[in-house]
Amino acid sequence: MKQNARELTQKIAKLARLSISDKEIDQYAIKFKSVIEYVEKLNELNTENVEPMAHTGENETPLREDIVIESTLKQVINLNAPECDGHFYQVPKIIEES
Amino acid sequence: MIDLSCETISSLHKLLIEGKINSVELTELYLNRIEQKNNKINAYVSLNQDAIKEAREADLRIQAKKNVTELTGIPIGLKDIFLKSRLKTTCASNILKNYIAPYTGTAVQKLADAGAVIIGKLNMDEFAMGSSTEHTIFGPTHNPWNHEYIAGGSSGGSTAAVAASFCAAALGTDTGGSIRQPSSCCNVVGLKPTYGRVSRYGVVAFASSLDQVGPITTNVADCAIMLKTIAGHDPKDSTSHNIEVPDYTKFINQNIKGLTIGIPKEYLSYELDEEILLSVNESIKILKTLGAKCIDISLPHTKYAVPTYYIIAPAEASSNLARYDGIRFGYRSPNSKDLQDLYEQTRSDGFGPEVKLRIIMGTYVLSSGYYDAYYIKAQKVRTLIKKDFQDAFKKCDTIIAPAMPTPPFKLGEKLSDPLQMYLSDIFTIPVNLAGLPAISVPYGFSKNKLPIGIQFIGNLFDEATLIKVAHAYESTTQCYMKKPEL
Repeated sequence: MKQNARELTQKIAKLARLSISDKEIDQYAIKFKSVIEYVEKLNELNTENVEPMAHTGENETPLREDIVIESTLKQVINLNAPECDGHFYQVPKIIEES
Repeated sequence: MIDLSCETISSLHKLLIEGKINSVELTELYLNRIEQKNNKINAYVSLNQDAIKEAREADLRIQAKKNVTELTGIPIGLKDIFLKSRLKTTCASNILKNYIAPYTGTAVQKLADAGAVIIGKLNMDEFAMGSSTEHTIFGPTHNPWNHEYIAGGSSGGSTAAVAASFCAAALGTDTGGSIRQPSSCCNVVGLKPTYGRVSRYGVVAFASSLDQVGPITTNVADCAIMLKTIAGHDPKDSTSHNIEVPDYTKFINQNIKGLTIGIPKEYLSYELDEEILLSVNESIKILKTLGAKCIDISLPHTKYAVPTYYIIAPAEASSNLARYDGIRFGYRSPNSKDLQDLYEQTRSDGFGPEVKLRIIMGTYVLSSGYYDAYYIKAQKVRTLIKKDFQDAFKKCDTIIAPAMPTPPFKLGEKLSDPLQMYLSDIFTIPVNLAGLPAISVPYGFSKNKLPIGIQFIGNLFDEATLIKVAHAYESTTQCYMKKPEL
């Protein structure tokens, strides 16, 4: 990890849409740095001709007929919405007034 | 009067069929016990208000002798990661604190179809990220054998509840050891099935290439009953495998003469706690007495499993947890000034510190410029780890391993050092990376009277051999019959 751990942690947190306070950032940076340095242990291994494995699933991706089936009702799903208006989720204004 | 701490699914089933008790009475017994004693160990986080209603329906089935299974009328607990319609599913996180499941997941539905009574939801590490059930908004679960010690994690609420006889059995999930490690801590049986054996539909996702659902029970016979009920193909989970599900109960009371058990030398050369090393050596003796052949095998990439896991699991978690943005469901911060701020405030208030740390790690290893060096590298090492097991299973039928490198540790002991916490899963993580099934069975107790489990690892989709070996082993140790005093 070449970059300053504190700055890097702050930058990555921002990318992940997390806001970490100045008070907490050092704690995260220390832990983040120690884990990343630990996982770099993998560099000991030569993996040049090894295929990467995304999952261990033994089956092919299954296909199905493209037919409409009943699913969970929209009204039931929307009961968990923080704010909604009919079928729509409400969010803070995202377009500035000119 | 029934003493719940002496019962198993099979014994309760017999009592229900013979009419010595009905499911409503049985469910009330469990509910009373939970009410009186849950505060000592903090296993349950919520109860199912419809439990008695479900018990009444089970009683009707039993009276009519229609569709009665071994699970009809049996009270079962769920790790709070499973969706059951109309019940809160919090994942022990503030971000889902008030989330009500809009539907029921497949494994839970299969239990319900079998007539099981869902009694409530159990504590866990937030989003299943942890090995001690301490990273939870509900406060830690305590080990029923000694309340100053961890119950293990992340399914610590489930294993503690089974040990404390707060339910006849429970469902957990296992991404890096979250069923087997806490089972070992609590003197119960925990099985992580093959990746693809049980549907994950209706289970909150943590790391999708590793997550698997499995049973936590008092003994191996109960584990076989639970597994045959929840296993099977489900079109709603495209990773679930369309392959026959054997009747696992037929593998109880089988001879293991002639079976070959592999002893991985790398596991025993690891800095093992003396008592754990002894547990493995003693277990090998037991297996030999039962007629099994024990041979040395090698899993050369074992030491790379934890670092591989801590790239892959956080990477997948950071992607899976991107959905918690405060828009469609879950917590939303009331203090945001614009949309970007709403995302950041919601996620920062909603997630706990361990989850945030893993999201940061995962985002880093997937970010431009680091993806090949970390994520692809880990995927390649994962291939090597899987190959180790494939080679080993050419020589043996099952592998014996510790479930944990130490007996359960004290609450708070590893909280400030994530690496130390992560290393407590060193013997369970390789199994998830390779997609294999494995079971943790009680071995005995440490000098401090804390439980120690032993792990058997099976070949892909060969849970049957695991049940066979684990049951033969358990019949010798009889350790599951010991119960904690609460």
